Amino acid sequence: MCKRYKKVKWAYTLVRSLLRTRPQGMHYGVPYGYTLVRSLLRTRPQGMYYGVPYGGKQIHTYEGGKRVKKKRLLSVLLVAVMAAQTFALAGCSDKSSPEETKKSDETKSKDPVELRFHDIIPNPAREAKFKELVDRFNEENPDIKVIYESTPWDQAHNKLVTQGSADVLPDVTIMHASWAGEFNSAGWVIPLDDYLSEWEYKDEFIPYVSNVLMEYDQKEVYGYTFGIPDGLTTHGMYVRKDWVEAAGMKLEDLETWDGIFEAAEKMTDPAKNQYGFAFRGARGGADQLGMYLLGALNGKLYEEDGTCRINTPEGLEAFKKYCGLYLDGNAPKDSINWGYAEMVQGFTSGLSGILNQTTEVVQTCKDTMEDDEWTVVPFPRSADGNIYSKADSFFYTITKSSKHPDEAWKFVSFMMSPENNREYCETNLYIPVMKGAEEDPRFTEGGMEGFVTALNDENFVRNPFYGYFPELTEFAETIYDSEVQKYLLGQQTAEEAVDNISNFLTDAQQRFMESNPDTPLPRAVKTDGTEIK
Amino acid sequence: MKKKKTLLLIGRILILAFFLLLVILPIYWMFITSLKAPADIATLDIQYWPKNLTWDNYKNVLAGSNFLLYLKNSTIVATISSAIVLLVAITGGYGLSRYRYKGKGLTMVAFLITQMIPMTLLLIPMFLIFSSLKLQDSLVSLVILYVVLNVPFCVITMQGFFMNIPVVLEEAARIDGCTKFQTICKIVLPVMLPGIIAVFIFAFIGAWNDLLGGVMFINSEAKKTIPVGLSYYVGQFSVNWGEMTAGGILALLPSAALFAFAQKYIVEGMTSGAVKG
Amino acid sequence: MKKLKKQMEPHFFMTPSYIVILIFMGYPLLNCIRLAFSNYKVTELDNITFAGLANFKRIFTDPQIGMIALNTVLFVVVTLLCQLVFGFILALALKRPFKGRGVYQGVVFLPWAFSGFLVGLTFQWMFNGEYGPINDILMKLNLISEKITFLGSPKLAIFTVITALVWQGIPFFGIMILAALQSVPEELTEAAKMDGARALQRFTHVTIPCIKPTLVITILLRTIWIFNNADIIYIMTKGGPANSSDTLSSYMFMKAYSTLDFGFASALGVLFMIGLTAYIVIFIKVTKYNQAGEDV
Repeated sequence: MCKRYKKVKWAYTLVRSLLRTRPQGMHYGVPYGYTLVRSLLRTRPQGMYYGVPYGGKQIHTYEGGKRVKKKRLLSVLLVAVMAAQTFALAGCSDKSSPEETKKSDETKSKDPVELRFHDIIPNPAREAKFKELVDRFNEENPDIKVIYESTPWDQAHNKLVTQGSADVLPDVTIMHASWAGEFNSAGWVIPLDDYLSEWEYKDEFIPYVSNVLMEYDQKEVYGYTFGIPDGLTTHGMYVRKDWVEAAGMKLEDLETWDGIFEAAEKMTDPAKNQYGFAFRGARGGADQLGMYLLGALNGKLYEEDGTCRINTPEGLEAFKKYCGLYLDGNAPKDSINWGYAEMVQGFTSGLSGILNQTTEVVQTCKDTMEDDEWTVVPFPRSADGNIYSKADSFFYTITKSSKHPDEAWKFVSFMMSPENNREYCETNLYIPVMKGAEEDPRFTEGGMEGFVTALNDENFVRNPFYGYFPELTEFAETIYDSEVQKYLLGQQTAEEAVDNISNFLTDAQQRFMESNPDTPLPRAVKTDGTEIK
Repeated sequence: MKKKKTLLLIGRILILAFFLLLVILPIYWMFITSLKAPADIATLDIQYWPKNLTWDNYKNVLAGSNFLLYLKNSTIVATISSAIVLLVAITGGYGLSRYRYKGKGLTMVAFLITQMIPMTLLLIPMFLIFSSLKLQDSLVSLVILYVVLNVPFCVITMQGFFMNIPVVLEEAARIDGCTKFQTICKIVLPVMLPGIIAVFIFAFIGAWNDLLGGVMFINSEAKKTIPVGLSYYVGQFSVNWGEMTAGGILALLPSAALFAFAQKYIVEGMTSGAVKG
Repeated sequence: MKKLKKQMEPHFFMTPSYIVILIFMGYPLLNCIRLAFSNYKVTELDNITFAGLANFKRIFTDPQIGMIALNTVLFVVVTLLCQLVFGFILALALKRPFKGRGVYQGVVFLPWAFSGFLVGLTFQWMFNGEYGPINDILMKLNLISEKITFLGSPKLAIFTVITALVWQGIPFFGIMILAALQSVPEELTEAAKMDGARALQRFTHVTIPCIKPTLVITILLRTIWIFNNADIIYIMTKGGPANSSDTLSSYMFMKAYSTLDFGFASALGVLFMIGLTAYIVIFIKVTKYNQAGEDV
């Protein structure tokens, strides 16, 4: 017995000397290790066994002070000590000890309610504005403490999904429109209708926002409102003024798709390293193709039975026409792998002449280009005279993980008050969702003009979504681009590409219709919320 | 004979120069980018030396962001986690290399298998573990994560280093009357120093550069690590190249200092001395 | 008593490692295996059912999977070989002291100290077909007459990603091999020299066997690491164009987070592990790794 102890001692000393811990006053006991093991056991779902070779019981024996008989257990002990040290080292041993936890629960009630507010597209200006607004809110509401968090766009979706599956979502989060299907089917966002109906500003939204973004996109599809639109951003064509002139065209000529195709061809001059169109082949690039395609289909994406119309003759022709921009050399060869950043960089660096982009790029252009080099023309009309475009917003949502939805709503409604919202939109180069901004020069002058003109056009049509089914992310992220790329590379014909795309959508849509017979088909809508026939 | 030697020397110089060039080019590119004004960064007429040299990017990173805070967090997390990893790796590596026991093969395979679980599938379970331990949004969770991620590799690598040490060395020490503990501390570990340092650096760099764990498990600004901070320069619409590369270069300094310190030990390699003595 | 002591000895050394593995890896691993046989979508967490082999069936009927598997082999083998060969050469070149070696080493090891996403972005930009410096330099040196679409071509994209990974990985091999080379007792090589062995013989018969354990294990672990490395691919090409630069793990990453079907992803993960385990067992057998340095 004695010898054995000797051995434990030196091994322990070795361990300790290497760890260089300060053992005084630190209680790295077995109880801690025990808690650790237990809490882990609690996490395993549905009675899974995972081969921890010792149970809680044996460790308990030690806790009672009895001398343990089995030698193996000594090793277990060492392990427990080590684990405790690990935690002690990191200075957190107090966090999980049972008494401490209790204490913090008691004191909680006196503290202000803590809310986590999460942003998904942080940038310095936006972050500063959010922090300013949050501070203002916290000052006005001493009983609530909002904590601002953010995740960069590239990781935001994955992080929220992971948090959602562990039920630790932030109380309030900004959400992207394309995640609506996932988040609603997972039940991660809660209905806001009760709060909305009592809200003083509920009638202040501009018609497009209340008719399309809230009524048509949310209530009619999901039966409730889950998100408050934060600000509008719409598409326009950024063009090189000097190149248009040199090509012998006028800016107005670029307000139709035919004009765009013509200009793209005329501007292209590979010898001068000059390309007409900023093509984007990757990372959601197919979405840009889609804007033209849906216009050519007159906004009618699905037949009544859920059959996708992209592989109709009109769809095929439009598909070929748009891809021709790349195949005929009016866009750089490399752009098949370009995403947002490269496409914008291509335009600002003087490589390409026409860029289909949203309002936010105005700032980038101001920063890197001469004022007389560029402007924004309204999004082009399709052959039928309509402007098939998009005007999207992000949404404020309250999650089901929130233990304080009332306070969360108080915060959301503060952020959405017309005054605060306008401040926020100015920072972000969004068009405000509340009435009264039309007269505000902040939103109608400079590069913003072209966008607002298109949005206010009576023939402005909001393109249909590809669907409300959860496969939407998969479609957008892994199917759409890659089918188009295969055609651009000559690995498949245009017919095969449109068939593959259509078949995926038809399958997903028809499956969705089976389980959700009451949800309307995705349709193109006008600003007043009426569908295009 | 002499001719051959000169040839060898020239060959060696060429090889060394080649590697230097290979390594320097991308780093040089990052460095000059960090010295450019925004308008000069993405131009078709590529500037291999900034036309308008500016240190603004560095100023903005240091003064305009919480970079120093991130630096502190990264240092804490990387140092503590790699110290723990080192401890576990030394004991584990020794056990694996010096004993033959039942289940040893299995242990090896288990270690290797843990390395195979894709990070994608690791995230959600880790999230559940951390939230049940009430460790969400804390640096401790990162320490644990990096220990877990780096231990298997480091134990196995350390085992490799132990295997490189002739057993005779230990036997000799025993005969001289050393206890096992003394043998390990006074003979084996000093001889192993290059390996120990290599493993420490591995664990340190692994923790220092991890982005995914930092993004997933940390929410609050006060606890972000450097890679997370840098990832904020990649916006939805554009990449802030100037500040991102400036931050990247700054983040490199501690690692570079570590290399500068460590290479001495790796190079000197105390093996010969130990065997002689 | 003594015998028992001897028996327990290794476990004292091993326990710290065991706990790390068991507690923090055991659950995720078994969870992964469980999910592989379940219908598990993150969006339908209250509706998890046993799926049998359905997830595996879907993998084998996926039309992309064959090409992506081949890609993966290419990706892993080329990356590993380049890293190993370059790393070895670097370590050998660095073994003997020369003036300024300290500084040189510090610089050459730097790529490893960059975070993967910064490397990915930088290489993506450098290899940009239109405004990237690589094309520009090649053109100015008159090595090419037309710009190369490194990342836009299905043949080249994967090699561009490999270049970035090799660049970042050489120092690692270099450090490991150099550290191992330093641990080779000089007496051994000197003795061989006295026995009349030539330089090459000394290298293959003395040096290589001495550093074999390190070499074997570094290769093994690197293989797994390269195999699992999805982020550089994700950053540089997102698997494109047309999946031509996808590997199994980048494909899985994208599928997992776009379909949120972690059952499918886990099944793929289980297959990875089976495949890699088989590789490891064979590799260890072939290199006779287990029979060195044991028993005091």
